[in-house]
Amino acid sequence: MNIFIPKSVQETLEILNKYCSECIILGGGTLTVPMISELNPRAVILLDKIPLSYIKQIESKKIEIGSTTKISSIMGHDNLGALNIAAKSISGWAIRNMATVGGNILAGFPWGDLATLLTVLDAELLVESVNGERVLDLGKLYGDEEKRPKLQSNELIKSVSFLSPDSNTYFIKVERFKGTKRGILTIATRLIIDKEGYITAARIAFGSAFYHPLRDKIVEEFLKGKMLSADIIEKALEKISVSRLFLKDSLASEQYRSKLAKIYLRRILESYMIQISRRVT
Amino acid sequence: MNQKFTLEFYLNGRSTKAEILPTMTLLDFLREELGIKSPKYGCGWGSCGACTVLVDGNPILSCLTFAISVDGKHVTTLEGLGNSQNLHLIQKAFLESFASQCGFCTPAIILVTKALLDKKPQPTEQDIIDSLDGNLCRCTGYLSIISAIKKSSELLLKQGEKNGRSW
Repeated sequence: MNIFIPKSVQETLEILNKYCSECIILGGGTLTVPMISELNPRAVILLDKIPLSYIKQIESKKIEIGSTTKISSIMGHDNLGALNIAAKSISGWAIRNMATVGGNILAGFPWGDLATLLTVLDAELLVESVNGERVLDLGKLYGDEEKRPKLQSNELIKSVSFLSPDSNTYFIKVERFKGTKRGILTIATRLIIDKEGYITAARIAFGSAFYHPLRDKIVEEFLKGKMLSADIIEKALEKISVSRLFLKDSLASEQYRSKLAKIYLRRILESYMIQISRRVT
Repeated sequence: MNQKFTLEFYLNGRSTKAEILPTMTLLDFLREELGIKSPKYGCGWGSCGACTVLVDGNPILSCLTFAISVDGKHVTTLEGLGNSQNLHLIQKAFLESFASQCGFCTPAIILVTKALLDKKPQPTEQDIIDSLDGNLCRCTGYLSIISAIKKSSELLLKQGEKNGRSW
């Protein structure tokens, strides 16, 4: 096993290109370090020293975060709204000091709380290999198995850019036991509502329930053009379609997760109703 | 896997240099190579927090960190705070508040307390609860730990006033 601690992105890409799928990238190490001895890869790359740890505003309503940015760094930023809540919901203080944004995006079931939220913020990943850069739509990366773009083994995630979370963005993490920070379901939503109270666009995603976050495009499509009411909320909940994919683990069955999806999505949609009524009055 | 790295870092304020295997965890290195026994192996996957040490003042889990990652950094363990003849004020507060029973989790929690009070000398109860969210204690039920952290804050502030400076 060869260990590399590159100091630049270019150096990292060259190593990645040489070892490809026989290589493990170590961001924070919280998920990968325990796997190293089992997997015994030919190469391990530590990303500690590459300069991809930053948070910056790139447009008036868009933010970019470098892939090696620690989760705890997000918590120190005031303008990140729901992303702050999602970051705080991740594990303990020490883990947040180690885990990276890039790692969280690839963390898989039942982790990846940031990823669920980023999905509703129309996030895009900037990835690079020795052949050049490309942009991947995070929603598509988590989309249908056949259509989804694949992250190649010689590619490195450099950053994620996304719309700034505003007051129309919600994130909820449901835990089996309070304080354990182990989610059995996460829900992220973003509704764009016009002055009359009609929904012009909707993004709804469920996490900690499948191998990756799941956007429910059927509910999103149903809500589009509607004004929220008790009746519409009821109908929207009936249309939740991705719950058929929910997984079970030692903490929750797929049926329990489906039940929670309805309960918590109802609460979020009711919060939007309250928000709209306050705006009108 | 015979490739060895030269690691240079500061352990409890002292410059330390060693030849290490690159996949050796910081926990194994501290315990097995340097005889620093306060960080404990608990769960091995980031759930219990018993292996917590401070790197550049921030809590991290030494069982999930390769030792080579701390190259050039400052690592603090409980041994760097005080000893049985000269306890640190946080250790005194834990002792007086009966905030330790079996003691397995205590070094990690004391270090988390140090990191918290360095950043926020007068934390709220919620700050204290939040800071402990990665550290399991199966003996105390946490109430005595929370009291000890409040007491630590008081003692350190008093000491700061007495010395005419922030601690």
